Amino acid sequence: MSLLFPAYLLGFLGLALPWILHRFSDQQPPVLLFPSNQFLDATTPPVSRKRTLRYRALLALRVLSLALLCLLFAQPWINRDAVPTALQQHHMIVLDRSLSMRASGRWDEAIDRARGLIDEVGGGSAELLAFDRRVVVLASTIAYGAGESGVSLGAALDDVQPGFAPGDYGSVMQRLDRLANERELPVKVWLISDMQASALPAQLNALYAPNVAEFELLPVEGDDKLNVHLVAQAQSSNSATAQISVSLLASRAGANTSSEPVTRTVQVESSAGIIEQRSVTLTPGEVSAFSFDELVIPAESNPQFIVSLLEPDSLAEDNLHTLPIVEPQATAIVLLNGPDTQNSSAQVFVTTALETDAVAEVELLRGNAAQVPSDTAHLVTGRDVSAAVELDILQFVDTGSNALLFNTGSDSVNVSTRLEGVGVGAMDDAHPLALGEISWLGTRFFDLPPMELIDGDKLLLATADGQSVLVERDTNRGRLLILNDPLDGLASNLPLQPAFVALMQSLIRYFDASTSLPDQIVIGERLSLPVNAQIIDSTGESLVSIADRGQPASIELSEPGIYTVLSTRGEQPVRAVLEPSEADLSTLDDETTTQWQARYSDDADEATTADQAATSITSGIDTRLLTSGGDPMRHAIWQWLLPLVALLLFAEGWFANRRLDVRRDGS
Amino acid sequence: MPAKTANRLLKPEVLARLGTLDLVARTVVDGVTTGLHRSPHFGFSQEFAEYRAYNEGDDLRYVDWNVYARADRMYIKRFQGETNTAINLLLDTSASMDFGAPVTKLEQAIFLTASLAYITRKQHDSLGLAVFDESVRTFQPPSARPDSLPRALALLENTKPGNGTHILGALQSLRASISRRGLLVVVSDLYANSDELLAALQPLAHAGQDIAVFHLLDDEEIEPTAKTISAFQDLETEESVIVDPQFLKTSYRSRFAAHCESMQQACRRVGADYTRVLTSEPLDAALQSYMSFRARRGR
Repeated sequence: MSLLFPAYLLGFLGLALPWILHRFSDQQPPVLLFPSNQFLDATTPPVSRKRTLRYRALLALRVLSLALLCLLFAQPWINRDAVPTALQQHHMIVLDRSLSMRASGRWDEAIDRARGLIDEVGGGSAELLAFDRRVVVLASTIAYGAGESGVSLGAALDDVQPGFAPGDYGSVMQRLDRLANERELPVKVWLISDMQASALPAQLNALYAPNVAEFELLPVEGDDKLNVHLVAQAQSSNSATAQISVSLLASRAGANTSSEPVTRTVQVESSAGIIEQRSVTLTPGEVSAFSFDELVIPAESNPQFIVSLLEPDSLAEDNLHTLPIVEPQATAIVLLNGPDTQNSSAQVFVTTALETDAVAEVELLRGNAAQVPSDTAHLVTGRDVSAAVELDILQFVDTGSNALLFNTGSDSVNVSTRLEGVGVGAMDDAHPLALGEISWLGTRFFDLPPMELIDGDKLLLATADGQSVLVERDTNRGRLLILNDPLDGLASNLPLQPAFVALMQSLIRYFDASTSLPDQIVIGERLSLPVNAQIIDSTGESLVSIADRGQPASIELSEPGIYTVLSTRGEQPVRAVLEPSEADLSTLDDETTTQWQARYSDDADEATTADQAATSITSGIDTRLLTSGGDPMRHAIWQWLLPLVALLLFAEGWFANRRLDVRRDGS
Repeated sequence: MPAKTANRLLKPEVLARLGTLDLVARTVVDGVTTGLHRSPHFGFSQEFAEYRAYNEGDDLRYVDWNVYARADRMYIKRFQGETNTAINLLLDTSASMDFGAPVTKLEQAIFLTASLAYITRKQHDSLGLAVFDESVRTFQPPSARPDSLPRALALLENTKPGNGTHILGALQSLRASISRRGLLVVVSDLYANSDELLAALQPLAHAGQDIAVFHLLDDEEIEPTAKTISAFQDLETEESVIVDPQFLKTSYRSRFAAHCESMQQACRRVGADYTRVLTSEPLDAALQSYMSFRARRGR
């Protein structure tokens, strides 16, 4: 039996208190008045044997109650079973299938180890799991029956292959903890991994799974120890030449941590052949970046460059990149002449501001929003927003598109206020429009049309006298902004100010963020797709089923390469790239590995204390609570102590009360 | 049954609720005398007191034949008792008397003394009353005046427990005041040496006094019932003694019984009448004893 809080045993000092009280009580017999002591002799010693015995029974009850109370606070516990046998445990064989396991020799070694474990477990309760960022149960004897465990786990092991996603030991351990909590038997986890340093969570406490009874790390090392990770990106600004940015990171694994420089050759080629090569000297652990400039883009549709490392290393998957040429394109915006006649000044002001720096391309249309082409993502139009926003605008926004309405509700000019005007007042600096970064100097508002805010409106910009200037209205899907200005140059001088150009460009960025797809995505992260979008991988296979295309979805891309997203707004390539940190094959140092595993050993208290001293990350965690909580191998005794204490206290109270009754009777 | 009715009424706890001592004494004495067929209290002197109609059983010697000759009715002549007989009642009010249940020994003693005083005055004797503890606190000389009884009762009403007991000193100081021969009644719990009591009573007996001693006791002091070790505090000295209950069951009882026996022996040696009075018992026995004592002495 062990104690969780042995300091509470100091409470045993309090046992002296009832002893003293009983001693004191014995020296004070009851006083009886008597006519004369003439015939009385004093007894020696003045303690009767019978009385002492009765008091000792009460004293024993009290002492026992206090002692058990102290023990209860000390929280004793015992090991449920000394050493559970293999058949009394549920074994979780957890296989690391992150990208780093593709390094030469690692995966084969891991498979061999897993197979050996399956043989060792025999007919016991076991399951096979694999993890990168997520944990997947591959096979389990719970589903197949205990007698066939070896066959089912082994068959599942034949099918599993390493992936491209990065690993995360923290999320894995927490998931294993939840799984262990669902199992009936005490769980022993066998974790087969390459002990990659980059997979270590920021909070080391995430490595502790209290529901796991036993934990064993089985590191695999592989053969080659050096890997160079290649990151490349191509960009073109004129459709004739391109620039490719390259960065390289070399890393060594295992005990070989020498920083001896290595030389690698980066080659760029296109469909026309090899374009350029460059040799680079790298120091492990440091990033080396450079670029290939003025590369002539081949005259073909969807031109691509292939950037690769010529020298082989441990991880071949990160040595080659296929780069599509990405040209910055102007955002298409429709300027709609709505039912309210728009003044020509507003058209000029809006068009000029949007097309500045070729950020956007404005197309003028006449009619209402229902007549706008379906591939239109952004719309600017003038409406009378003193009343409710028209249905066609709301339907347009509800498709996931965005709209900016400027208020054409009033064209009357109040001469008295026009002379001076008011400046910009309150603004929402936290909004993605970044209004605080725009210089509003010189912007004056003379006579803005009246505008009523409704529930859900978010006021982004107001004049100094409190009139609303820019409002974001709450919608289900798209974004709807209302600019309370007719943009005629009379109600305010905003269209004439540089701030208007900055505001329109900020607006385009804000709108684009909700509708455009990223150029590249890291494997393991999810890509959000618009409605009715399809994504096709490099082999031409569709990844989204027809049933899922009717609603916005997100998809996790599991392999690197160039994917094509087809939607109503056209075709856009998305590049799935590897997580750079996952390509860093550096492994955990022995101290960290020991501390990780020591949390599950018998001397967990000492190990965690050492861990706390070594790392400040875990300093805020009570290790005693960690070691006590829900450990299936330890059994708390307080469930039995508590009723016993209650029983003793009841007996003590009853006995003491009986004594008082006797005294009251004068006996 | 008149006697039983009297006994029931004379229980100490009932007397304690009666209120005034006058009523207590009247109730006690009437209860005692009602049960007697022949009153021994009249006719001891030759001095005419009153006439009373003849009742069957009356002694024919006391029939006034002259009245019978004139009125053809039989009357009994009653004579005044010994009016010069002085009866001194000595009441011990020491602190040890303030003990007992259902009434204390002092309360029982006061009831008894009041009853005796009432009887005394009913017989037209001179009534004297002395209250003492370590010394004589109050002394009313014997008097046959009609207010002697109310004065005595008033004195008894106001009597509170005093200090220690010193019978020898008290009786010695009273000896000079009690010069006439008569009856001396001592009401006390007698916490004194038997030799001391003998020394106190002997001179009075030699001086011709008839002595009656009423020994007031409580059951608890005869047979203490304490079952745990206890500190017994003396009511007079306030000193405490821690006593084992086993001692109370054995040695104490024998010692106390020997003490009572020695007191009775001392009384017998001086010719005094010794009567034990318990706080738990009615006063009948004590008063009957007193009556028979007086009858024996022809008074």
